[in-house]
Amino acid sequence: MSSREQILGKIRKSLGRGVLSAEQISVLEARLATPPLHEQPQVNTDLALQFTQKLQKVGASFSDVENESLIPFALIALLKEWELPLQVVIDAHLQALPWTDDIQCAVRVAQDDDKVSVTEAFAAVAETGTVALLSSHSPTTLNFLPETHIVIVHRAQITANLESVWEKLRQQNMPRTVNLITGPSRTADVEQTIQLGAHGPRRLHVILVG
Amino acid sequence: MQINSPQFKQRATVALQDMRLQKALSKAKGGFIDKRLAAISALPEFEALRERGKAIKQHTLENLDFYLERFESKVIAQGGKVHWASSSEEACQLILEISRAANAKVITKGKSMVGEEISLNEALEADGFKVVETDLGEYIIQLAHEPPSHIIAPAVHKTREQISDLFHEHHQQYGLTQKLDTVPELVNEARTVLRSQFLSADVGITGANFLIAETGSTVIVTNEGNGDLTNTLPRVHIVMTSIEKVVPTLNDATTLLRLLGRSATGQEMTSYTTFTTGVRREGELDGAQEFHVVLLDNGRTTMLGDEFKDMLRCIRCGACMNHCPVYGSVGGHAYGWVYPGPMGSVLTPLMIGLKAAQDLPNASTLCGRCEQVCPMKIPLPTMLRQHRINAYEQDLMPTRARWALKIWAYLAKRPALYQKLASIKIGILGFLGGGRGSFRYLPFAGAWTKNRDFPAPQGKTFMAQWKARKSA
Ligand code: SF4
Repeated sequence: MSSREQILGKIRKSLGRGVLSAEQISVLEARLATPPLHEQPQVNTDLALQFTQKLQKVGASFSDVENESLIPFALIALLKEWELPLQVVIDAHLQALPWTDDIQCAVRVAQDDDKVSVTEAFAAVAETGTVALLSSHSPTTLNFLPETHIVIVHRAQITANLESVWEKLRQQNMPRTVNLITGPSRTADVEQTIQLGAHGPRRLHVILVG
Repeated sequence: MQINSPQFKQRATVALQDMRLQKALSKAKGGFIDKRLAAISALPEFEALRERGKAIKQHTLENLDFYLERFESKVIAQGGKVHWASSSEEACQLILEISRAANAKVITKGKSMVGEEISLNEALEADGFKVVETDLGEYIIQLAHEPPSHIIAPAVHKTREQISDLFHEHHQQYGLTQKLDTVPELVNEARTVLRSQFLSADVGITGANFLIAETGSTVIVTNEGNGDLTNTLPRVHIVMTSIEKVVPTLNDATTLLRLLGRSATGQEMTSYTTFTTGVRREGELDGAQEFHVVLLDNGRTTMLGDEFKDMLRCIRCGACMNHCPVYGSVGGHAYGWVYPGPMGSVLTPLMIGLKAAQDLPNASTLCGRCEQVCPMKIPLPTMLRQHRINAYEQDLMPTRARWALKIWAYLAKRPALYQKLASIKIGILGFLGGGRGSFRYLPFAGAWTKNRDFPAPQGKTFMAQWKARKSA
């Protein structure tokens, strides 16, 4: 007998039953098909306000632009403020923005020495100040290798709770990776002292559009 | 991992006298407790979430076969493979085969308690692979050749000075010869050293906090980002996990995530919560091209049918050990195996045998704090008591202790007499035990009383308080 059958058999034996009946299975199928919505923490009706408050609480920063076409300028201003070279790696969806010659944009996966990446979020969660990024939209390495990670979030993408992100995601095939990112990389492994930038980005910045 | 649980008494004695350990423990303890309290006080829904979390897990366990099969079929549909392992040896063997087939030389690892449970590193190293732990805490203890002493903070027993010494010793080979002192310097140096390992790894192994039947996803909850570099950069990603980690849907996992972060570190959400589903898709530029999930049993199916079933709800948050007075005094290593604290004292006897671990269920004052703080409402003290009963019934106890227990059982069945005696003098139990009764029987009693005072009973007995509260 394979371990698979052994394990499944032992589960049934321990539960004191045999294989589930067709009827029981259809009840479970229904639960999977329509996932129940459980209790959710209260969220401020001003979603953008709560989202940005939570962002700051977890050590991320944010800025606003009125529309997409202003992103390149906002980005240049940020890089200058942080005294970083005007070079970024972006995801392919951002290529269409009105980039100028002032800044170098590479469209590829991240490399070890990249300083700044810019990626577009799939959604954002006001409850916790979280951004959701999909591997089907941008290379996952962009979220982790560079020291500074900039995420583009459209105001309309901000949802109250994580469950709404799942609802939106259920409209498509589940991507290889869904990254829920809440603040920069951190560790407390040395004497419980929080230190940012353990292995991932030391800085997480959100540009809110709209 | 080597089993040292039979030496609990000796190890606890040593731990109580280890000043560096005591310093590290006292630093950690308050932090965990305060952060958790602040997080749950800020969430009025926390109690409701606990009840819901418990119900979700109970529902899943009742239908575990269904959800595991569904999870498996979803993983396969997304190009991944699921491997079932009845025992630790089988799980190690499966991972060795996958790693050999991948022609791997360097294997990076994210933190996995199941990996510790099956002694995965030893197996991989014996087979010639270079294994690099990438969670900073795990990396520190790998350099020190020590097991983790806490399930979410594996190096919590190490002081900064010790970590500085370890890095100084092991990082010279990379040309990093300066001895470092501050936390930022130490974290930065580890970042530099581990970066090159991430980029050269052929196989990445992570654990999983949850498995999602709805989508076939595995979920990791981290703060450093090491788990994500481990599952994204190498060509092959292996998830080493166990069967009770499955939950039905993404919504169910979300409820449990709200409980996990707050109970573990007081975070509403950790920096990175990552859902991994199958292999890299066509046209994508990064991500693993092979995806394997190894599902371990190792006694869990037996627990499902006995008095330890509730333990399968455990989401490995660590709150029970953070609030345990015994853990707080002796640290995790005294417990002698992978899982320390109250949850470990329940699990270890089930995994390595009650005979080898019979001291652990006694390494508890049954004060009940673990159950109070457990987000999954697991009745840990009841299960510790059950182990004691089983040890008694299996004749594993010394005669003197058997007598003390018999007397205690006699009294427990006669509450009026018990309360009367208990309110006269708490030490009476000791007297009834022939001058060496229950309290002194604590396996590490000598070391315990040598190093600290037994707390004087304050005010009314628990029973009296309970009665007063009930009538209020
Ligand atoms: S037993 Fe409860 S408190 Fe302890 S680790 Fe498990 S879930 Fe957390």
